[in-house]
Amino acid sequence: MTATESTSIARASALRRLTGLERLRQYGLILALVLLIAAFSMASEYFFTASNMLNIARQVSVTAIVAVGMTFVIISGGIDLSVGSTLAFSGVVAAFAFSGSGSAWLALLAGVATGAGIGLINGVITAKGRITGFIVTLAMMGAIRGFAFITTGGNPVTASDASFTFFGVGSVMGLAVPIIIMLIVIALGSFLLNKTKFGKYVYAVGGNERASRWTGLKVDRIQITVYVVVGLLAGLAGVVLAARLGSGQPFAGDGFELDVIAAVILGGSSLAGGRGTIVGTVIGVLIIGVLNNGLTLLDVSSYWQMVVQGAIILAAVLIDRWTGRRSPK
Amino acid sequence: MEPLLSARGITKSFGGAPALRDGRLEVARGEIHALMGANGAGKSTMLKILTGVYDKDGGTVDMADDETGPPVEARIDGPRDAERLGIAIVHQELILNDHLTVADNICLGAEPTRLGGLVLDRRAARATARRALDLVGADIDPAREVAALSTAEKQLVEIAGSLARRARLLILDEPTTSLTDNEARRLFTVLKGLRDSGIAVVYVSHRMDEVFELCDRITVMRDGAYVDTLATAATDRAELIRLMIGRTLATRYERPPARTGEAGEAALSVEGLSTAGLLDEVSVEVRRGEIVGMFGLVGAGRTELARAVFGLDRRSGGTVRVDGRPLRRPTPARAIAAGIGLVPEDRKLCGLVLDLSIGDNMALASLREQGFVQWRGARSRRLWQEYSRSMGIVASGRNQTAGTLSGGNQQKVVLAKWLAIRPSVLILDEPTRGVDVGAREDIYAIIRRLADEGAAVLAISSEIEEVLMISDRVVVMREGAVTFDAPNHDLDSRTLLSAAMGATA
Repeated sequence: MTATESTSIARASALRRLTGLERLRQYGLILALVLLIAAFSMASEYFFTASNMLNIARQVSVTAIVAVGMTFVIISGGIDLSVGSTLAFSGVVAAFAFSGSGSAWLALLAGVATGAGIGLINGVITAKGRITGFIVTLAMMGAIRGFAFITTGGNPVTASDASFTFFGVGSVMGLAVPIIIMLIVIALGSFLLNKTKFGKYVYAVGGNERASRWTGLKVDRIQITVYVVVGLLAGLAGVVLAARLGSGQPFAGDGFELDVIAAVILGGSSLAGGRGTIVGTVIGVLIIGVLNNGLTLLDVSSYWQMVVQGAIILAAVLIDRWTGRRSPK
Repeated sequence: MEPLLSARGITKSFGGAPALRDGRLEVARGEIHALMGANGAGKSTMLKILTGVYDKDGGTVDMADDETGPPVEARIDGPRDAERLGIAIVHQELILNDHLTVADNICLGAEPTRLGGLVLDRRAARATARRALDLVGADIDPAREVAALSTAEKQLVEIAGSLARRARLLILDEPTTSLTDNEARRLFTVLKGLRDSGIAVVYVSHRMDEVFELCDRITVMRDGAYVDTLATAATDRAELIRLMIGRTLATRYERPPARTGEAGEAALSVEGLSTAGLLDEVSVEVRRGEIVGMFGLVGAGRTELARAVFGLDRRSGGTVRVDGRPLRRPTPARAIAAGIGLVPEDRKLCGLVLDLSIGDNMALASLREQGFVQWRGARSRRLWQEYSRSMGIVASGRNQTAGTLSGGNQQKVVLAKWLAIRPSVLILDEPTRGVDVGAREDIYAIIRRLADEGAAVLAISSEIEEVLMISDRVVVMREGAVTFDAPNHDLDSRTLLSAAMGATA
């Protein structure tokens, strides 16, 4: 490539990458969320009430917790398909730990550690084995689900004592515990991504892995860490879910990974890596949550809800294309 | 000699800057025609126009359209037109599909079929491939997978593929770079055979020996324009070098006096460095406060040297010392910890994260020294304040996305990233490539300031003028080895180009 040619390319891409569009898109998402809420409020008088809003928050909490972790993975250029299985297996492990020890906190720790351990395996194989995360976590998705069934014989593991179900149905000062956990995870995730050097490294590795290596970043270590983060959060979400259900269920979270990835993509993260925000992900989760809640209130069948959700995701990705930010490489 | 191709007055600009001002090339049937010129002479732009990769801005290309007729005006609007006209190119980097068989590759895009196009005719494909391979005297089984072939064999397969698509003008771009002497000899025999059967070959090479052995005529280009076409028998190396350099351009920049006398002790010393691919016992030393300019032609091993020093490539022998301490088992992280920075040749691919802000890019190499939490981007804010003014970076602020900057400003951001680690050694690979004239002078000033502050600078460049202007000492590499190393006193471009091409001028 000649010198002059690369300058002209730089100019052309500068024109294509108008920085304002990035923000415009985030405002567009917020606007979409507001419009959805307004439309459902008009259609159903029950929709815009404090109790239903809290209801939505509780409904989305499990998805939101994992979506925060998935945002790290997707920004780093990876993906994790095993979160649904991890969710189930961690819930099972937590339920076993509770029935064995009687300690709810030990159960929580066991569930979270299980998730983090699975994330570590995903990360090490992906980074050190130089295999794409898609393949590694696809394989793990099946294997972990298998373990969930093997350890339980396919039956739910009961853990219905109030000290354990507190994580799923309890409340503190009138706020449901899952909502509190979700808010803490969002705050910590946002802090980690925006205010720490680890967060910068995640963006750098996803934006340009080669340049990151040439800048001396320990790319492998960063990739492993993001998988540990999402695994840990999937474990946490698994405990919350098991606590809500009063049992660890080996078949929980079937297809859950797609809901999570859909929310993250809807929130503006790029599957090519390098771009995304926690705020966007939260809005993505809320849009899907509001949609499901509102359509249910309006007695729309859950089959149609699936269709609408699919259409929304396609629309979001198309809008992303039209704003034309990522040029094909 | 019957003319086959005649291109005249070809022009091409990129973003207002002319890459080709007057491209001219006349090739006869059954000749091997060398195209020569220093880096940036316009050879590759010319070839890309002939093969339909670029559209020309002006000029005409004529190509004979049958066995005997004279050249008539030809439209080349894309690679397909070039193929239809019978113009084919074999690049230095081969573009075969490794997972297909030899026959599949040779017939790609024109697969013989049976049953009215429904089924691939494997047997016919192999026969076609066999015939094409015979033309290049290659005894390769058409059913073999390309991945299993040697580089030389792959090259023959690619040439055979061109012939199967009825190429009449075959362009070879630096074909012997990755061949052994014996393989190169064999290629020459093949090319001479093709010439004798009436095919025209355009041969691009920096290697004088090959050109004089193989080619019938030589066209020389310089600064985007045609200089002359000579019969090989009627010229010599000295004349070619003279034509490639032309009159020495008056240097626009003030060259500071070379300061080798006052330079300090060695900050970077490379001894006997070898790699499996290319480098052969390279030894270079750069002292504190010294700028060493490294010249060489494309493929001479300069970038490979930088990569091996920086720990990006495995070394097969030799040592690298920074400030006297050996750099063992180097990785980029260890090289940086030892005080080495590397400004890469391709800043978009290897230098910047285009989606990140300017400030974040500046901080990326030196964040390791910082605490885990970055309150309000403290590091990037400080670096932006420190470097935006002193380097003259034109941007709206530190939060502007790096991808939206012009080439010159992007390069300054990369420089700031490395200055931020306070390097004792900074290696720059083509530091002003794709950078406009104003930013270029800024970058020279930044490099000079860095050296004045005591850093050792190794600046790799393909522009002779640049090397002569910024260096205290000049090193020239050729084919993986250092062929010249002298203080920058009374050096001229001819000396450097001769050292780079392996000719005595």
